[in-house]
Amino acid sequence: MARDQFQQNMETLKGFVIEMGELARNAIVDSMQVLRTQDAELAEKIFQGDELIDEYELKIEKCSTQLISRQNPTAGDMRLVVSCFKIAIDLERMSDLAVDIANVAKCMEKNDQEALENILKMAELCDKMLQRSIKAFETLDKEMAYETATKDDEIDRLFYKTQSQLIEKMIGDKSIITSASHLLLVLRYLERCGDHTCNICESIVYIASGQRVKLN
Amino acid sequence: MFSNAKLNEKIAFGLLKIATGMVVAFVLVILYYIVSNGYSAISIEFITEMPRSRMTEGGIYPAIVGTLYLIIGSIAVAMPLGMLAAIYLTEYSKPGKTTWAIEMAINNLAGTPSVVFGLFGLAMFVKYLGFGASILSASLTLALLILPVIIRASQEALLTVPKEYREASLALGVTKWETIRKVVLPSAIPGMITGAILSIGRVAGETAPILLTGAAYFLPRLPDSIYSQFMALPYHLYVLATSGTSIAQTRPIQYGTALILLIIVLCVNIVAVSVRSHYRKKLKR
Amino acid sequence: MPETYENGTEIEVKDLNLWYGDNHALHDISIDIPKNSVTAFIGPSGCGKSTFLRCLNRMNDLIPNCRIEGQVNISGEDIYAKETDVVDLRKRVGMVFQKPNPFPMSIFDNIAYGPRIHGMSKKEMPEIVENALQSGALWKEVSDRLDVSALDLSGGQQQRLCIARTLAVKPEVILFDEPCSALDPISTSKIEDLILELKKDYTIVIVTHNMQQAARISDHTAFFLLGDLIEFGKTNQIFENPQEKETEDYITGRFG
Repeated sequence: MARDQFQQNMETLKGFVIEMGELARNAIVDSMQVLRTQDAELAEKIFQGDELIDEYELKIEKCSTQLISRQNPTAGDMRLVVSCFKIAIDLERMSDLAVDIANVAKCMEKNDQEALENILKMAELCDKMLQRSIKAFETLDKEMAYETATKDDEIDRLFYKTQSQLIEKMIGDKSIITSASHLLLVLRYLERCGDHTCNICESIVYIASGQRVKLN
Repeated sequence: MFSNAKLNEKIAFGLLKIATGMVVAFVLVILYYIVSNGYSAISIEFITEMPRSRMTEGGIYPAIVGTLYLIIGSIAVAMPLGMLAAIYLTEYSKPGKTTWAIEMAINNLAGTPSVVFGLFGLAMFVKYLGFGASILSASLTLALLILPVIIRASQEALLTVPKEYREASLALGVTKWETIRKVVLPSAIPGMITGAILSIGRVAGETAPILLTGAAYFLPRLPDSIYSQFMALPYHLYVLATSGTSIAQTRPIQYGTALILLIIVLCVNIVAVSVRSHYRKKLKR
Repeated sequence: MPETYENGTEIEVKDLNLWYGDNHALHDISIDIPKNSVTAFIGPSGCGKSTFLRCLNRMNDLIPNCRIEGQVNISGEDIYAKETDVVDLRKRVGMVFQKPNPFPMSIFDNIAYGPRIHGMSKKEMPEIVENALQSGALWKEVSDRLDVSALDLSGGQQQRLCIARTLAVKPEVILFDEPCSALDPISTSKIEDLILELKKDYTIVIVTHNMQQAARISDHTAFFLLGDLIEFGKTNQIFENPQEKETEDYITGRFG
């Protein structure tokens, strides 16, 4: 077995990314719970979780730079190290978006039921995508990454549909403008989450095949 | 069409070939001359019997034995002495005036005419130490004669032992003497034996030193101790060829003696070379 | 400079100066080398890194006109004190050289050489040899031909044999003087893995002209330049964020 320590460090790095991915998933799921129940305590948990995620980002950054400066990774190793770094940035952004959602959601009082349902559906899709992409990352499965990225179209479709519905409702009933515009924000945040997941899938394709693709 | 450089190369190679050819030719001519004139004298009796009738008949047995004794005696003395001196000089002595003086002395010793050694042997061993004209005195004198050769060859052999061996051994916490004994000497011994081989021919062939320290003009018996006088081949040859009564009559015996001397040197060298290759093989294994 | 180490300090050097005749080759070197870890010395040729390494087992004693001042403590003992036995010191501080230098003997005799001279009994020898070869990661390759000449091994195997030979004497510290500079990349990688394995039981100091090697295997790195210790610190820090400009220029290849 050549370069045992290098091999070990690479595994550690991968492990960090996978754990970070799970944390980001939890944040999104929890933020939806806050949207449903306005649970301030849970919102607080998300804020704390974000700090942990920031720590993970730092750990991954440290680990990657160390591998680059000390182990001279090349070929597949290099693609993995560089991509882990990028994936960590995407995950950190997703966690920030979950925080933003929680911030908006914890003080909302009444919600448009139809929009809320669409949003929850989007969030569920988003979570599934993230789950699948973490799996694809673990196994470096290029096909799974491609397939996962296609789910973003569904999220985008729901986004546009719900957006126009909400705008129409606001035109009809000015009293809901405040709550509806909050929902629009949440809608927007979730759509961004989908985009970040697509970025992650792009990174996975790059690790697995060396090809730089656009999956958005 | 030859360019100048090519022509020069041809000429240089040609000269080198001619020079080498001449050396080989001389050796062959000498060998042929001795063998063709001497082989008729060779017989079992020639190498196993005493000389008779004022050395015009019979064998040269005592001279053969005497020469072998000289070879064994002088190598036995000079080899350990030379090796130890070489070890001291290469491994222990610090560069300085004393070392320089010793090295110079060895160089001068190597250039000293052999008759001077003979005179020294006569004064030192025969007279002063009272060994008399004997095998002992002659062997010691010859040992002194070949000492510089053996020291030089041993020093060269020690210097060719890679520095890495010494470092490796010292770095394992092994003392310098153990390092020399266990690592340096085994590697140097083949080279040291080469020095001995070069010396054998010298010992077997020298006349002047033994003439003054113990070789007998005529002695129809074997020496019975190291304090006895003895006959030796080169001196016997010299006597037959210059001061005998019937020089022309003994000519075949002279050539025969020369031939036997050559054969003895050859045989002893073969033994030494095989000892050396044994040690070399041990190193490779 | 780090003050305390997880496993403690093995080698303490204070204000070491070295002269070759009139040439002042090492200037006021002070460094604490941690126990059970790998410390690398890097720097351009002639910077004094190998010379300094050889101060640690007093191999410089062999060089005429070499004068050393200062203090070197190994396990708390001043190795340049009058009462220090150099032979005993070198048992405790082993060394592996640039060029693999097995003795012209069998593999078995090479390993047994040190233990035999240090008075181990003949009965213990096969076990000592096997253990040393196991630790040197060579046993699997040579266990069926221990009586073959060590010179028949490949360069990389010879170097591992030299490491095993050092291990057989049971040192506390092992000094490596550019151990891979004569080896191909695969043999190099094997030696590097071995060094990482060995640091569990030994304190390792390695001189290397291959910066990447220092980066790969060392925990701490010292950068030497023209006989001065320019910078010493955790390898991560030296390779990510060196404090001295000379260090940065050297490790980024902008030297000179």
